[in-house]
Amino acid sequence: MRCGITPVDKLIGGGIVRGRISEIIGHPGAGRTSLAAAFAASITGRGEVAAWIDAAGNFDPESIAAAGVDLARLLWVATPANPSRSGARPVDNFAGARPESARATDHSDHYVTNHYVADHYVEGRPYYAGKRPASAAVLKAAEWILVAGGFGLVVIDCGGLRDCNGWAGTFTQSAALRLAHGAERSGAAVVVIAAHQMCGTFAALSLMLSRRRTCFSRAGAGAPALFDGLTVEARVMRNKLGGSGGAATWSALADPSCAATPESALAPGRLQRHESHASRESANYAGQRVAAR
Amino acid sequence: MTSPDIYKAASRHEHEGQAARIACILIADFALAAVMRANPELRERPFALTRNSERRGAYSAHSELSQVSAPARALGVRPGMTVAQARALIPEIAVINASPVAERAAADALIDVAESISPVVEEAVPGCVWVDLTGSERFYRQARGDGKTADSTRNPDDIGDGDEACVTVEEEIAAELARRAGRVGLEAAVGIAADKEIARLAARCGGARVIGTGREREFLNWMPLDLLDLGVNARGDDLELMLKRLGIRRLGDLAQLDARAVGSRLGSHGAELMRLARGEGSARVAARPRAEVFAEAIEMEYGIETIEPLAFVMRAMIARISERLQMRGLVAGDITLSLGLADRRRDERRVAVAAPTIEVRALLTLVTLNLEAAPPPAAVETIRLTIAPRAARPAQSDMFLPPAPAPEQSAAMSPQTAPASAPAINGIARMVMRTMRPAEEVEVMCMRETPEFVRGANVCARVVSAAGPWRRQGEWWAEGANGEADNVAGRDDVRATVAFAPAAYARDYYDLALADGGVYRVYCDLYSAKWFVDGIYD
Repeated sequence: MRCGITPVDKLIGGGIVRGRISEIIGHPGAGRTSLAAAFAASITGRGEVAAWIDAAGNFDPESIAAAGVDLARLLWVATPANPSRSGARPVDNFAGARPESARATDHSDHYVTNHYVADHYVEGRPYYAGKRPASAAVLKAAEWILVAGGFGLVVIDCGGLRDCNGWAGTFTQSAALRLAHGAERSGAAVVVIAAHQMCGTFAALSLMLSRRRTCFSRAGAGAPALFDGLTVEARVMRNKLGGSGGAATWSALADPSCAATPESALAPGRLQRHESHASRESANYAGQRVAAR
Repeated sequence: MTSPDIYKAASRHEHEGQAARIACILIADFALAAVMRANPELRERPFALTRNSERRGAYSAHSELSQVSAPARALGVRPGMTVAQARALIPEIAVINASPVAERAAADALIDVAESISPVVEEAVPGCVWVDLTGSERFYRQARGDGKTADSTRNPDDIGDGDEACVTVEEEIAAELARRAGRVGLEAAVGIAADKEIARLAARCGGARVIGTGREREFLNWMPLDLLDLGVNARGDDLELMLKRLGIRRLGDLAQLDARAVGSRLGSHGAELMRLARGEGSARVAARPRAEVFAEAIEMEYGIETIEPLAFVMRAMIARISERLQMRGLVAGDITLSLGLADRRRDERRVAVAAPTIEVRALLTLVTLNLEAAPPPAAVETIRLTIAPRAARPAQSDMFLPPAPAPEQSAAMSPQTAPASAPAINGIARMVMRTMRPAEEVEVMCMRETPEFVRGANVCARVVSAAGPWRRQGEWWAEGANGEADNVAGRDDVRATVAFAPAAYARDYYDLALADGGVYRVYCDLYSAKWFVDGIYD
């Protein structure tokens, strides 16, 4: 299944494979969601149906539709929002329930190794739906969708999923195994968006994205700056069906129609441009960040 | 000019003594043409029609062929043969029952073609339409740009040249009629003359033929009888054969005979033929009211059970109606779909068209979505598609902005028909945002109103690059917003109505590239002077 981004399609041997798990990993802002949206746009453009399991409540229908995804053919599954992102307090601050106690009372906690108890809101009041972790809800939703069949692509967006300590866990081996079996039986391509590898050896492809360049431009001196987009490097960390270690660079733009060719998309000289080498600067300001906290 | 005015104008021409000019649009082998129009794949194939009163598709090997297509005729199949005889000659011949619904649809389409040229139209039989062109050549001459030489400045000595110019214009009209008939899927022959019957005879010659004023007698004298398809008289005698035995091969030969003698020997058919040969036909075209509903129908040999082949069939039907509407300067409104099902039930449904259009793709998508939402309970055997015509909406262009797409091209017509933008143009992806729900409040340190540092629960970094701000402000007009304060959050340019309209908002949005590597969309709520992270570009 191709995504339509030529360098990425070439890098991964023509696209991701149906019936297998593919991981798109990287830091927030590295272009993971844009790449997953390209796959979803490709699949819905062919008339197939896709599902997007939104673990952290970050799904933005407007920009997803602008990326070419036919929303009429996309199932958006909203799961309990990440308390650390949504502004809600962690569970142990709410009721004193500790993760260990949740593990003891809930049999579904084997889905995640480092889990938290997600808060659910019903009629404006928080409660704990069986003290089930959000990751468990995500996996349960994925299983149901894969068992139901008829989906060409299932995107599991764990990109913003973190526990109360800010650490994003991984799926347990048994959970990843069940997910892999579900993908194989349904024939759907499963794409997992995460900060790091979630499915371990059960993923057929792990694609690591990292931001190379952030481009802002202004039409002339004194004109307001505009955010153009990112240049992203994709590196194959693991590929069961091809070679690993290869890398390719591609662009994700706020308005691709402005770029005539991929080479001219973020080429210097098109406009007065200033680039932010934030990856270098982030190291310089790491100490400051800690100090600010 | 309303329709009654048009009919009055048509009769006024006659009273004024202006020479009548009538066009005849004729479809040869109309039943065959109607079936070919509904099934374009039959054009190159040998096929024949049977007329059975029984159920569709229920013909036997002994059924007689009523009409035969040209490829089948070239291979020896003739009307009157049985299906078995035809199959002995051409094993792959397609035998199809004549379709009255397809014939009616084709006849309506032909009338639309005629009405696209002149409002005074009369249908003789299905497949033959007369159009009154009296006076209409002036419009075409003006449309060609030589209107100045047409009437007002014409020298009386140049009547001959003027008539030649008139004939040239009429030839163009005849060619245009044939071309428009082709657009609705019909191959038409067109004849133009001063008389209805002479025009029909001219059309029977094939192609586009114009008989100039005063040259009718010359044409009738030339007209061979074998082009007339005379048939048999009341006693069952073959008229053409009888006339040939008498040495009469052209209408001119017949016109010289005594009318009473011809009537006594050949019967009423002979007398009718005599009147025709002497040019004693009618020059008056009886106008009919204009059709206000555009319909196409098709009967299929076998039931269709899935949406995709149904959509394939309906696409051709919608395209034909779209052409008809376009010729009349109309656009498509609501669609009524009537499906005849295999279990003898009917499935009637109405598809609303929010923005009238003639875009075939958009109309087909609307119909397909309707069918997908509630599929027919059984296989579909007949389809009747009726489209209500609407007047095309004029759009007002802005003086300063580039021209906007027409309403029918607007994606806002229906969210389902909005064309999905390309996921990747030339291998470039479109940036997607990850929204934060709810927006995360942060503290932003600014220098000269430019964000310099962002600090929050999950974000804490220096601003590397910034774009913006872009202001969004709204709902200040909401109910209760009847007053204005002087100043909000120290900004003089923001309308302060928050105290009166709680839904009012005013925000300045920024795209901030932070030192932690992310590009965030951040906004400042101007009423509360608080900053929020709206999302991150990912």
